Amino acid sequence: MSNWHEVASVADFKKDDRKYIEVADEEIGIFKVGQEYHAISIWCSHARVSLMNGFVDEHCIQCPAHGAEFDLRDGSHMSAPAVRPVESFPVKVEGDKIFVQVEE
Amino acid sequence: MITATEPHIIGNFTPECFEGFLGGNDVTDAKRREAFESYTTIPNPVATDEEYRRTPPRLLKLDSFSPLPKLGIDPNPPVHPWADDFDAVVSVTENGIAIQKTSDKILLMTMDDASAAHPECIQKYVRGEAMPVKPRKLQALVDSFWNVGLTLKIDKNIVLEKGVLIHYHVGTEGAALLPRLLVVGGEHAEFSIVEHMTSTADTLHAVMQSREYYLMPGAKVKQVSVQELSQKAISVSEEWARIQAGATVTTCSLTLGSKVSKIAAGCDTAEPGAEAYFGGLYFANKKQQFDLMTLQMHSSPNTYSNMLYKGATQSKGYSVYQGIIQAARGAIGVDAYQTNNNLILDHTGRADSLPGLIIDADELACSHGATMGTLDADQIYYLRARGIQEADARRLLVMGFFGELVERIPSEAARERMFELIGEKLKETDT
Repeated sequence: MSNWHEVASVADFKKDDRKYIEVADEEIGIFKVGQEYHAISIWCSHARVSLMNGFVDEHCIQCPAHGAEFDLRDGSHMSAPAVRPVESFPVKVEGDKIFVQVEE
Repeated sequence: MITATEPHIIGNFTPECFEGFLGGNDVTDAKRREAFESYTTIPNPVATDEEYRRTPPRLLKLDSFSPLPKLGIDPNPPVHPWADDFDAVVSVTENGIAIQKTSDKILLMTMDDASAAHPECIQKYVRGEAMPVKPRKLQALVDSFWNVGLTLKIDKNIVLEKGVLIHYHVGTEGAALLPRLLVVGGEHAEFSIVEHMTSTADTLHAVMQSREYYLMPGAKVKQVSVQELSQKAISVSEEWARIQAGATVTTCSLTLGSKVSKIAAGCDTAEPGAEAYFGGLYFANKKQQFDLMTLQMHSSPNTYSNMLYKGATQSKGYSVYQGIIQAARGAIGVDAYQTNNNLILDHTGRADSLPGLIIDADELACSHGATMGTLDADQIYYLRARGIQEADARRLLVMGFFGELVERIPSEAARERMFELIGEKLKETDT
């Protein structure tokens, strides 16, 4: 069963381009790229290092530990040493509110 | 300028709370104070510690729990269905502890009673030499705040045929049950212990255990723990054994319940001829996270240890195994094995395995290895070709994978329960 959870507001992203949230036992990073918001699991699929401090370039986030890259739009892995994707979550914005859809 | 450092406190495990646990007995009070000193001195674990890197302390939600007060005697203990299979039965619930059945061959009593009757035993063994590493934060926490303590002492040459059953049950939201167990096996004593941990479904609570085993020369003990706490519960377990000449300890921990489990287990084969067979089985599904840390310390030459952990993960289950074999200087003739096999049943499961060696001696054999894999498609096909449904074929293969550990489980009832619980977990995925 998937539910939409209100997790942040647009105002939260005025100073920073990312926000860490915990919802339905998932640890999720929400990233703002341009005017789009993306949500992925914070854990790198390679060595389970947090991606929250990763360097973001366009839609690509780089793991701070070993340099694995992931596409923020769908979580797909773009470079070694990651050999599998990270989970991504649908995001929608309604007014000032940001919602993330998480399977429970 | 030198400033006093702040004591390192976790959540509700505060000095004020600690005061409530004193006043039982001078010997246990002294042990508690000693542990509390360690607890407040050791820095709180943080996510950057290697041991906690994969299971950050916040997942343990230790701030959410309050320790239950020191438990008295439970006048109406629940009857455990396996009780008839054992020589001695102990039940621990939020209402208290009850020694429902015991044998005149053994000394089985609460820690406070044991402190009054055999103070030298508690003095010598509680927080004794079993733990071959420096004091650990969570063990110090349990040793300070334990709300139920149990001592089992088996005199020399005593053979306990059916063994001891200890059942823990907790159900109150936000409660932390902290059992403390001390086991002393006399020379050539033989016995087994089964611990069964259950809890009320869908409640958030914690069971934090600390156990110490001391095996005198020639003693043999088999220990198994069946952990089937609720899917929201937190489990912390510290288990350490000191094994003397010719003694053997065989353990098997079955970790199937709880949301997050943090387990540390280890032994010191402290005299020549000591043998340790440590093992465990875990099955993480539905976002469960099990983190196991083991240490095989060989502080003496000509000792043997064999560590075997087998696990399965699926449905976003995650397991971490970190194991070390350590041979001290001069520990020649050591024979040690460490194996961790993992079965990853779907693409959302994850298992990390980090076996390691610290060797300070020559002329020894220490080997370690880890495997990761999924079910063999050919084997499933073979079984299906003989008319077995796919779900049943998968079940058979998973049971077969764990089969090697079954012989380490001394209780038929515990074995059956293990297969039942694994079957239920596999069924959750099938449906």
